Amino acid sequence: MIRFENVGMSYGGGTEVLRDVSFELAPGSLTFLTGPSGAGKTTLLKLVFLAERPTRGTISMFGKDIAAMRKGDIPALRRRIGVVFQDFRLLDHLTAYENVALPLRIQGQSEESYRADVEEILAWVGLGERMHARPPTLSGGEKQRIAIARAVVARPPVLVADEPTGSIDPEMGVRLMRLFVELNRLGTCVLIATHDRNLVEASNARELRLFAGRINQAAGARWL
Amino acid sequence: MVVSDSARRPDRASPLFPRGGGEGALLGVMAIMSFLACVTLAFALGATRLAHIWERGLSGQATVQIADVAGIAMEAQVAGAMQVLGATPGIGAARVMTREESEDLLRPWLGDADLGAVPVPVLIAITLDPGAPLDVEGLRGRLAQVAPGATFDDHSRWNQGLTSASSAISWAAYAVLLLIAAAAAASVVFAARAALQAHRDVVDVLHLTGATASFIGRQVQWRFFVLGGGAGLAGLAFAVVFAIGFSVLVGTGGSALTSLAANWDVVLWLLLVPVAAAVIAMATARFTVRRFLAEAN
Ligand SMILES: Nc1ncnc2c1ncn2[C@@H]1O[C@H](COP(=O)(O)OP(=O)(O)OP(=O)(O)O)[C@@H](O)[C@H]1O
Ligand SMILES: [Mg+2]
Repeated sequence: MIRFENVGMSYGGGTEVLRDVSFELAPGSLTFLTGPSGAGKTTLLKLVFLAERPTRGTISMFGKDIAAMRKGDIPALRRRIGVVFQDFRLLDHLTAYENVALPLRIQGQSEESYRADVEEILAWVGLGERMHARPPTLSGGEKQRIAIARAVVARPPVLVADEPTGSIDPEMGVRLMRLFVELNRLGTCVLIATHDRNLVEASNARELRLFAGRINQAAGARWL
Repeated sequence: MVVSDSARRPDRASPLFPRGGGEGALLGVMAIMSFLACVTLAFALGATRLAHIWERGLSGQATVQIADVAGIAMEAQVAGAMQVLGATPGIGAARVMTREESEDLLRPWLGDADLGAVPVPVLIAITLDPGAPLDVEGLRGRLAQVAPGATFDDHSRWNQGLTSASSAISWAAYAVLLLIAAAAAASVVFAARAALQAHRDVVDVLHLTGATASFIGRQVQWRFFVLGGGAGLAGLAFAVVFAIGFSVLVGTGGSALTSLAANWDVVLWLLLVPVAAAVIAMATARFTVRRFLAEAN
């Protein structure tokens, strides 16, 4: 479903932040991406959700080489990838409800058709009561849960989450992890970058370890 | 305080781009541009119309002027000329002007001097028949035979001068209109770019969530349409107030409203200014968003 071959990436021609990264994510798989701060986890995820382009190597998504893709096909591809950004990226002038509804609005759906879905997912992440609050009035953990709800509301086949439990208490973390596992069971390909060893060890999922821009093949091999 | 969610649900989805930013400044600039466009357009229409009026007034008229020539009596010349005119197709009516009328016409040049002793040329006032073409050269030839002192003047020299002057004025005014439109479009480009730059975070999120360039464009272009149209109407209102104020200052205040009413078709043309402002603002904003997104990715 997602395939990296010898991918290298450097910001603005500087030193390479990712080096010779090769891996493949199967449809319906759940994978953790771990590694110390600055190892390149966010950078790798940015390549997956097409916010950055690799400086070398090949990335294919849904069986297509993204370098060979026409510009007009990119938005449709992005709609098939739900993203939880490390810095949330909520729109401060919209309510929690409107933030979560954003992907559906972009897909051209009417409010009547998505209202129930949006309210359901907001209730699931425990924000049913705060759905008309705006992000500046919410706590860090509440914002994070809105970011997660927005990433999953359109049920994309690929879900990418960057530190999705960073600002959340362990209990809520477990609850949200259950959401990811549930979505994964329903067929979503999930890739989660995290520092949280507990999260990784609690599940039996595959782990890609990133260290100084390289995938630690030995550690990864344990799960292959 | 307990407020139920349904009671607080907004009726309409919030705009994806927050309001504010340089919109007030753009509104002011566009209103001034629209005002200038209204004045220029009114000027162009006025010049064309005035030329038409002059043309119509002059082109229905002609004169034959008969000067004293030695060897032939003035009366014989006049009678011969009248006969020729009466037999020429295209001449509606011809009338010999009295000596008093002729002197009145000459007075601006000669002053109040007693013209009794001066030989004043006889003028024949002609009303042309718009239904029949006039063979001017043929008429001149026949007049020369019976009245060697006669000159036929159909004012066409005047006419040409006026028409070319007024069309030059109109074309210059239309060129100025184009310049104003270009300047308005340029100011919209700046404002739209500034707005996108200020809301870069919103653009990025929309982009990464799979919004197409035309979706993002739609979020912006209607706001610019309304802004341009509003500025255009404000400019038009200024222009009308300006016109009324101007006629009050030059002392025709009472007739300003009646002349505005009489020239209602000019006012209709001026309504094109807000329409054009709205369309220019919208199209330019749309174009700018596409350019911005193409550069960003
Ligand atoms: N936009 C950028 N421009 C230049 N360098 C960058 C940029 N973003 C990240 N980097 C650099 O790339 C390297 C990897 O950063 P990245 O954000 O991918 O790390 P990370 O593994 O996600 O870290 P963390 O766990 O702290 O989130 C770092 O050295 C960082 O300084
Ligand atoms: Mg990171």
